[in-house]
This record gives sequence, structure tokens and C-alpha cells, in this order.
Amino acid sequence: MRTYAIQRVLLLIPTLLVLSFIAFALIRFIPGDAALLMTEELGYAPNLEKLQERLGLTEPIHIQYFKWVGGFFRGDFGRSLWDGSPAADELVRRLPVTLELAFFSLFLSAIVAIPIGVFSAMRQDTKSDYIVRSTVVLADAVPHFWLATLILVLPAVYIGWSPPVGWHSLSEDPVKHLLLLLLPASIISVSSAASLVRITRTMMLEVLRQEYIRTAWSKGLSERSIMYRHALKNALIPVVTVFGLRVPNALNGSVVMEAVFGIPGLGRWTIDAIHFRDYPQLQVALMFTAITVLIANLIVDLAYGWLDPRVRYR
Amino acid sequence: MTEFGDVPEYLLTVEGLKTHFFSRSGVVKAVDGISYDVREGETLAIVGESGCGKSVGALSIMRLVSSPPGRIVDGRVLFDGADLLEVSESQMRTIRGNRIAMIFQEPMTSLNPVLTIGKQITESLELHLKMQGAEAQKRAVELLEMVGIPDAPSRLKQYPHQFSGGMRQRVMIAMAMSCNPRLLIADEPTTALDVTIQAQILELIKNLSAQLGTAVIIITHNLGVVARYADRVNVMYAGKIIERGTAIDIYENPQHPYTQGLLDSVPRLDEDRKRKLESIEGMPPDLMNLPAGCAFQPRCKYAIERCVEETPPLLTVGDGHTAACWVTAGSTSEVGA
Ligand SMILES: Nc1ncnc2c1ncn2[C@@H]1O[C@H](COP(=O)(O)OP(=O)(O)O)[C@@H](O)[C@H]1O
Ligand SMILES: [Mg+2]
Repeated sequence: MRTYAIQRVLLLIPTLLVLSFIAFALIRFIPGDAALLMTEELGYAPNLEKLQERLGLTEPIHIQYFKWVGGFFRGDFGRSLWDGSPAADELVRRLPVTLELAFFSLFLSAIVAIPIGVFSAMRQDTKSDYIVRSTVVLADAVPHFWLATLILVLPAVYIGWSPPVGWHSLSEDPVKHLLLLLLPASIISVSSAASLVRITRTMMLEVLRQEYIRTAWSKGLSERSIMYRHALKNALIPVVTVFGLRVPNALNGSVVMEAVFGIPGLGRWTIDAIHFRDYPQLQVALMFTAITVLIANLIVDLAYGWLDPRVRYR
Repeated sequence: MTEFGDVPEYLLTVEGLKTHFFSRSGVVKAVDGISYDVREGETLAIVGESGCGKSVGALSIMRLVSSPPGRIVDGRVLFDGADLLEVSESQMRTIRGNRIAMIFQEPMTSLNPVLTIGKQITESLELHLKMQGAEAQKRAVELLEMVGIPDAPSRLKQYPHQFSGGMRQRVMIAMAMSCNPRLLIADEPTTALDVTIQAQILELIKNLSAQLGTAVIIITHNLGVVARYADRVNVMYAGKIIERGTAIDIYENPQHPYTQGLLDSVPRLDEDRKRKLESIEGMPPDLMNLPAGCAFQPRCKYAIERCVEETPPLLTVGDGHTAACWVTAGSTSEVGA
């Protein structure tokens, strides 16, 4: 297991290289660059070629790439093309906000969905099971932004009140901080919760058919310990996989909710970077989002070992 | 075993037990009115071809038949003065794993793959005997040693996949015996194991039951096992007991043509080795559409008209020996218990 973990960590390096290439290339497919915007659209500077040269955009593309990657791996994340500020400064302020929102929503979906999935499997084909399953179908079909709009607009229209939006830093007022995060996080968690309920239910039903569950019953254990001690730990392995797969979705949801709820995360900043062709800013945003997903996947892989001794001792 | 003339002490009495499975296409009468008893400390074998209701009958005693689709529709299971089919579920839980324990056919899949062996043994001790921590741990070590697993303290920390099939069945036995049950139900405990290991496991069960005074119901489709390990035998066919007697009765003087057929299909130590083994012709019946009269009649070479018209009850053919056959048992005997 330890060698496996080390291998998995080492594998991050080539993955990151490939990612850096994609992040670098992606934005350059969009026509136009920052210099063009500055001169032609905003009348910011008179001479296009000179400006492009100053911003380093005239250098051969592979040189630009290697310069950036070299810097990146040394911890130099480049400077904004527009105001020259180090891209890392802003990132350090914004990334934690997005991560907090994304993982708070994932946490919420897990603590709600897993017990519901277990309950639904325990009561298979009863009325409660049908209610859970229909709710899941519904929850899966609702887009984040629609739900958010509904929640913000409907009470405003009918009772003249709408949920508070905005942002309070954790150090300033922890309670207010969490309260303000709760609504956007819940909205993001809906679709993840739906997938988690579905996979938990399916896997529990599968596990409950296994012979070791019959053994557990034959020992006189209570339904509760059979479900949670004997069955859930076996069922959890694919649930964790789905949990890992929901990380990109949660990040994506955070970006949308940041816009709706006025939260100063990566979302707005990334969109601006695309808009203004601020290559270094976008690259660093993409890289850190990707690194987050990679680390989450790594944790999921290592969690298999924790859950399944057959993996641990391989 | 009780001597002749003693009042037999029944540990378990099953009366008219019926367990059926209800599905859209019909009712499967997996167990259809079986009655038998188990005395303190004895070993009772239940034999019969695969699918004749042996496992369902055993699971019914523990009230572990999956429901739906299964349901115990009739009968009584008297154990220690109570009808197990009437007691509450929470009372039943104090009996399962404590007074009646069970081991299953597949040691590979009967243990939970993600819990340590130690955890799986100690949880019974904690639940039923209220042992805790070091005490439970110590008892678990003793149990593993009792079933012949060397290096017990370190083995307790391991997971099922680190054990061989035979060792896992030993673990199952240790788990089953952990609370010193009065009755052990072993459902084909060796069917999935290598022949050499089968004998070891059966010896282990036999020795432990003798040592601890545990009664054993051993379910098997192997009559060789019966001859060696059982005191008495129930032969089942299509959800019913069709012959019952001591192991010697069944082995040396089988009365039902089905029992005779079963015996002809296994090699016997006391016979010429070159005897051709014959399997019973035909297929076991469909439990959803049983033939009229005796369920064995379509496969039986002695069948007469009466066998189709009327289902034979268990008829007495000797002291404590009964068989449900009009032809071989019907001529001389009366209806037995
Ligand atoms: N869960 C179930 N659903 C429907 N039928 C079942 C179920 N379990 C057992 N049966 C039926 O009950 C009959 C007896 O099964 P079983 O007791 O397992 O046989 P065996 O004598 O081999 O142990 C079989 O014909 C089987 O089809
Ligand atoms: Mg069986």
C-alpha cells in the first residue's frame, strides 16, 4: 500500500505536465490577445506590436510555454498582463473561498445522502423507498442556477424577503460566515446528493444479498449494526468513487454560485481572465483547479485502501 | 445419546414447518410440513439432493428466510420451552448466535471481507456475553486456538482474505461456538472445501460438540458424512422428510427408494470397490408444480397406482425408523410419528 501511494504521488508529475500544456494551449485558441484588446478595443496603448513584445507575446510559442512551466514549478506563477500584479497574490485570496464552498457542499451531500441511501435500501420497494427514488430523479434534473434563482426570487416576490447573500470572512464572524455559505453550498450539493443516494442505495442492495450479511444476522446482531457496521463499509467503496467524481462538479457549481451569491472566489476572477485574455491569470486558475481535482482523486484512491483491506495488502 | 428406555430430552422440536416462497409465477413450497426433533447433544443429519429445502428449513429455525419472497406459513419450532416462530424479533436476536449458532457452506463469502477476524469474533462476545476489550480479546484467542488456528493473537488482526478456505471455515466455527450454543446448525459446512480438509473440519465439529455438549444439525448431500458423524438422519425430498431413522438404519436398511437411490450413488467403504455407482434417474421435481401423490413417484421404479393417488405419510418400519413409501413401508406398517 505504501509503494502504491508513492507511485500514485509520483504519477502526479507527468499528469501535471500534461495539464500545464492543456491549460497553456486552451486559452490561446481563443482569437485575439490582451495586447489587441488593449489597443483596438480600449484604446489603451497606441502600438500593437510594441505592446505585444512588451507583454512577451511575440516570443516563439514553445519558449513562452517553457518559460511559464519553468516558473510554475519554481513557484513563480507569473503576473497579470493587465496590471502586472503577481497572479499568485489574488489566487491565494480566492482559491480557499472556492475550495471551502465546493467541499462544504460535498460534505453536506455526503452526510445527507448516505443515510438516506441506506434507509432507502433497507426499505426497498416500500412507500418511503419510492419517495426517495422519485426525489432523486427530480433533484438530478434541477440545474444549480435555476434552483438558486428560484430560492432567491420566489420569497422576494411573495413575502418580500430574500435570503441574505454576500460574504463574511471566517476570522471576522465565523457564524455569519457559515450561515452565508450554507445556502449556496446546499444548492450545489443537491445534484451530488442525488448521485450519492442512488449509488449508496444500489450498492447497499447488492451488499445486503451477500452471504456475510446472512452470517451477521445469524449472530443476532441488530439491524442497525448490520447496516452500518457490516453492510455500509462494503457498500462505501463505489460510493467513495462517485464522491471523487463529484469534485469537479462541485467546483463548477461553486463558480456559478459565486456569481449568484456574490462570493469572492475563483469564479469571477477566472471568467475575467478569459474575457481579458489574461493568460497567466487564467493558467494559474486552471492549474490550481486541476490540482485540486487531482488531489481529491488521490485521496479517493488512498481511501480504497482504508476501506478495503484487500487493496491495502496488495 | 439417550439409552433405550430413557425419556428423550428434546432440545428442539419442529412441528409441521412450512416455508413457502411467493412469486409472481407461483408458490414454491420449499419446506412443506416437516416435523422432527433434536435431542441434547446429539448430531442429526439432514440429507437430500440440492434444492430439496434443507437450507430453507434450517434458516426457518433461525427465522432468517428472506422475506419477501419467503414466508413461514405454518408450524412450530419449540426450543427451550418457547415457540421460536412466536417470540419477538428482539428475543430472537438474543437466541441467534448465542443459543443457536449457524455455519454456512461458503467460507469464502460467509465472512465479512472488510472486518478483521478479531472484530467478527468479539462482536458476538460483546453482544451476548457482555464481554469487553481485553476479556473479549482473550476469549477470541482461546476460540481460535480451540479450532486449531495457530498464531492466534496475530491472526485476530487479519482479514478473511488472508486465510485459506479451510481456515476460514475454522474461523466460522470459532465464531459459531463463541457463546457456547446449545445447538449448532451446520449447512453443508464442507461442500466447498478440498476433500482432505473436509474430514478435518468434520472431525473438528464432532470433537467440539462432544466436548461442549452441543447438539448439531448437519446438513449435507453426502451420505458418507452421515455414516461417520450422525446419530440420526432425516432424508428430505421436495420439501418433505421422506425417511427418518438412526444412521445405522438409514445406511444399512434404507426403506425409501429415494434413500436407496442416494446410497447407490455414493461409494461405500464396506463394499466391493468396483461396484458401479448409479445416480437416481430423472430430475428433482419443480417445487412450484409438484406431481400428484408421492413427489418421488415419477422417478421411482417401484411406483404403483396408489403412489399417484395418495401422498404417503411417514410409516413406521422399525423402532424409531420411518419411511414415506406405500410400496416398501406400506405393506406391513402403520402410520408413524
Ligand atoms: N430466496 C428465494 N426465493 C425463491 N425461492 C427460493 C429462495 N431460496 C430458496 N428457494 C427455493 O427453495 C428451494 C429449496 O432451497 P434450499 O433450501 O436452498 O435447497 P437445499 O436443499 O439445496 O439447501 C429451492 O427450490 C429454491 O428454488
Ligand atoms: Mg443448501
